[in-house]
Amino acid sequence: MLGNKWVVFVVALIVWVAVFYFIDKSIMEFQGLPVGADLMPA
Amino acid sequence: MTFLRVIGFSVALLLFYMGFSHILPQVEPDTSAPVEVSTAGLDMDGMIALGESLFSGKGTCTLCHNGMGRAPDTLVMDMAATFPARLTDARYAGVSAGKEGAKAIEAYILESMEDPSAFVVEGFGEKGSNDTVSPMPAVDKAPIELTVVEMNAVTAFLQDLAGLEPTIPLPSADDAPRVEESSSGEAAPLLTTGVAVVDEHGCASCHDLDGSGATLGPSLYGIGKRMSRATVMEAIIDPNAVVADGYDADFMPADFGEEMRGSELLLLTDYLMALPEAAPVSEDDDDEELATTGLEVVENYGCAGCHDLDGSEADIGPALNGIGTRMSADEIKEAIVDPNAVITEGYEADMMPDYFGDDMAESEIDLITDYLLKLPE
Amino acid sequence: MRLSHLLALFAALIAVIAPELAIAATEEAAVVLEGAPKPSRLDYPLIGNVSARTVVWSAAQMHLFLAAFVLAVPLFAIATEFMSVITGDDRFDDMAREFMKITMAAYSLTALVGGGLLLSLLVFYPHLMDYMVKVFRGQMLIYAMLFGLESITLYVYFYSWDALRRGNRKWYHMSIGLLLNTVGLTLMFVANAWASFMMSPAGVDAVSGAVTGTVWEATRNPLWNPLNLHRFLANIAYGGAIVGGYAAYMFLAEKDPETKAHYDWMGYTANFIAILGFLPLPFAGYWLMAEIYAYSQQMGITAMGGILAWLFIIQAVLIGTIMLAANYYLWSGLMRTDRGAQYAKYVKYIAVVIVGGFLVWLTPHTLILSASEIQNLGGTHHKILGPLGIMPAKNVAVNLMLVMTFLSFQMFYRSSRIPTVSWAKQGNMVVVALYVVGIVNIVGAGIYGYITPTVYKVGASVPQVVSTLTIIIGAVIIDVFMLRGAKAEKVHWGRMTERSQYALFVLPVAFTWLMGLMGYIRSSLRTNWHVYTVMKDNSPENYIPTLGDAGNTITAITLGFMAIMVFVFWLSRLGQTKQKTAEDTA
Repeated sequence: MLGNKWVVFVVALIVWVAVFYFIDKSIMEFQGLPVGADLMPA
Repeated sequence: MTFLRVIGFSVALLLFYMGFSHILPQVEPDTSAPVEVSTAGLDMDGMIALGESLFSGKGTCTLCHNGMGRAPDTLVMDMAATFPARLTDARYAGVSAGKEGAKAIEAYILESMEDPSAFVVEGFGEKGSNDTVSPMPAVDKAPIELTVVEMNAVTAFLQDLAGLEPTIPLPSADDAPRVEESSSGEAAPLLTTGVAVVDEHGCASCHDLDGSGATLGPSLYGIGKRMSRATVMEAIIDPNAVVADGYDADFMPADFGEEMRGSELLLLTDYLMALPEAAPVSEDDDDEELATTGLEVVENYGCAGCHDLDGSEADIGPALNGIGTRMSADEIKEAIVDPNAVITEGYEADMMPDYFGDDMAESEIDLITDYLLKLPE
Repeated sequence: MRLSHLLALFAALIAVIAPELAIAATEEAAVVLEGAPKPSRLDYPLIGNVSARTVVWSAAQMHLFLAAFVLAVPLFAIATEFMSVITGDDRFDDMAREFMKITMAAYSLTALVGGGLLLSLLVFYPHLMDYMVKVFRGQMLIYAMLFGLESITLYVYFYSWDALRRGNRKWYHMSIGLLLNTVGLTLMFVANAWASFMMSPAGVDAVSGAVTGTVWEATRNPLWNPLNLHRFLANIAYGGAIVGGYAAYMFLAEKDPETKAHYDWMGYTANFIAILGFLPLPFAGYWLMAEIYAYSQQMGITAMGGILAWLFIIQAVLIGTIMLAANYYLWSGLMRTDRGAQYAKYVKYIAVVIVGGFLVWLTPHTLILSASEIQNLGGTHHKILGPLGIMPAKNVAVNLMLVMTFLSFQMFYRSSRIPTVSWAKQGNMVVVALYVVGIVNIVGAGIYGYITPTVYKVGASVPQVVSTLTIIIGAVIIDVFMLRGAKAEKVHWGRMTERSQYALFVLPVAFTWLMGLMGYIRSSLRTNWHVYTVMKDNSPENYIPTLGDAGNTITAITLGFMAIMVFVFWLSRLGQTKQKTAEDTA
């Protein structure tokens, strides 16, 4: 993986964000807590 | 040498942790043996009071029913509107479904205690059960194990909270006694002033203190001039050691030594030694605030100093528990206003102060009579 | 590894486990209509003025300290031995043997104290023991037999070290070690079943306590496995901490530079093992608490929101000191390499996060206040600091502390290795990005927990822990690839300050006290029940002692344990000492 290290950094950021988002979502749903902004108490 | 340093360091660290555990607030446990208490004779007000103490005590309801969101915050919600709303909720299919009124609410409350999952309020169900399974434990089972009478008491309390007239049956003599495992959990608070000690132990009911005008015991004004500290203390702990002229032995309770804490005894002695020569001019009685409950009357007039009231266990005067079954309201009033009219067997005349009729307001006499009438056995 | 070795290993495992499973699972419950005993206050034996609970508590706690130690050390002894086979480095093997040497004396003391515990339980709580024996019947005999097996495997494992040193024989030796560990773990699992049964009974009638199920059902009660995992991990951390303390002491006491270097390396390895066991502990602890809540919400709330809530503040202090000490040791370790200094500049930032996290973790939410204090404060919670007391803040703090601890470790690890792969710079960026996103995720999940209902607060803590684990695992994997063929820098083992060794003393002392505290919590959760909801505790001491009293008892037991460990280590030194003959002194 060669190339400008800052480019690599940004790409890595995006990839990790996707990874963590996927992990978070799976965990919350596994617990029966669907994620969403409309769950705020009235 | 290294060994000592290492050990010293470790011990210092341990002492730090140990010290920290002492700094934090300590929750004193109740170490007394459980006591069996009979519930026979409790009237509805008594049941409501019992229910309230169970709600935050043995029932452990407030562990979840509070403002933290785990369970409906029963104590602050508008239960008068909530209960009927529950009964008419579309999802409710329990014992009181389709019914209304205080009796239906009583059944609903009992059902919610015995079978919490019968109906789960929206949003409070166990995670993933879609509000069909309640996280609340069954109250009549371990570990809470409230008895039938106790659950009725809690129900009475909740009905009263909703502004309803409680509909639960009153306990009878057949009901098994309940076991009182713990009191409020705190030891009696330490008194910190001489006046507080006087109040707590009812000294003013026999001695003229704090404007009481009592004459059963000798006046204590100027006692600091007449007696030494040691003698005053002895007089409190062992009243029969030296009896004042004109007074008899065996009047003053002899158990203050056990009842009072050491620091309280010292405070009281200080207070007495500092009393002026003569009693201060008594305040105009009309300016004093009137009592608003029977118990306040008891406190203001020191009844508990001679009668077993409010846990005082005094026995200079006869026990008044269940007096409502022995005397009528008028007879009780007379006994307060004119104590010598009828003397209880085994007791003497001229013991009970006869100025209550003058000192108490009409409303106060009514209050105390009412209170005494309601005293359980 | 040859197939024959694998088969031998497997056979050993089966040989140990099968009989127990067979007996336990198939044993039908005898028709026992008798419920749990209901002793009244006067039925409890009174012996002079002796506090029954303190005696049993001390015996149990001491037994746990020693047992945790003797279970943990064989675990990392065999791991270290395995390292010696893979790397071909004899020093690992020597260290593994030294680990075992230290524990030999501790083993018999563990059994001794365990016997003392059993006796004190029989003397002071005969009704409870009567019931427990009814519930677990045959399994208790198996427990006793397992001790025999443990003794055999332990002694054979230790004494055959030189005889089974190389080649195939080494694999036989490790098989014996594996057997030893299996037996040890089984012993722990059995004892855990009894402890967890007292908290969350199963296999008995819910109302009367009559034994209705098999032993396996009673064993497999709701809190059994969470307790198993928690103790397994905590044992590793604990064992590492104690061995680290031993190594630190030897480092300080020895004068010879080579010996000092050896003990410095041992201390580093032990600290590494302690952190390794420590990092996943919050996850295991979370699972344990979650299962407690699931079993009985009341029990859970008593622990965290009720009378025992303050204990978790002390726990925070203890874990905070453990984290600070472990990190301080790692930072000090940077001086062992010449390149270490360039990482030293990051230390202050890591320190800020760890101290900050510690302070947040320390802050309580609900305060026990008097009426006037409530008036002064304007409420029951502090306006600004109060919110730091609830779960999301705590989880953010602890997870960040863990991430930072791992970072300290990674920095030390990197300081002695110069990567030679062509993509090193880019690889580093990937690791940095991982840390950044992971940390933002942890903080984000925390904020999410604040603005959503309670049940989400709890739910949001799992992604936080998983984020921490992801960062750690991800960074490790990247490093494995990135440091392939890396140029090894010289590590000057022994080049450490004296001060740094004291950090290694903090670990075992704090861990021991922490274990005592957790035992106090676990027993108190049962409130006034011997077996929760099934057998009431009517003893004169059926109340939860105050925090201060508990602190005194725990400190006393810890001091006792320290004395025992000093004795154990002294014995192992004594074993090596040779009296000087006339020739030597001439």
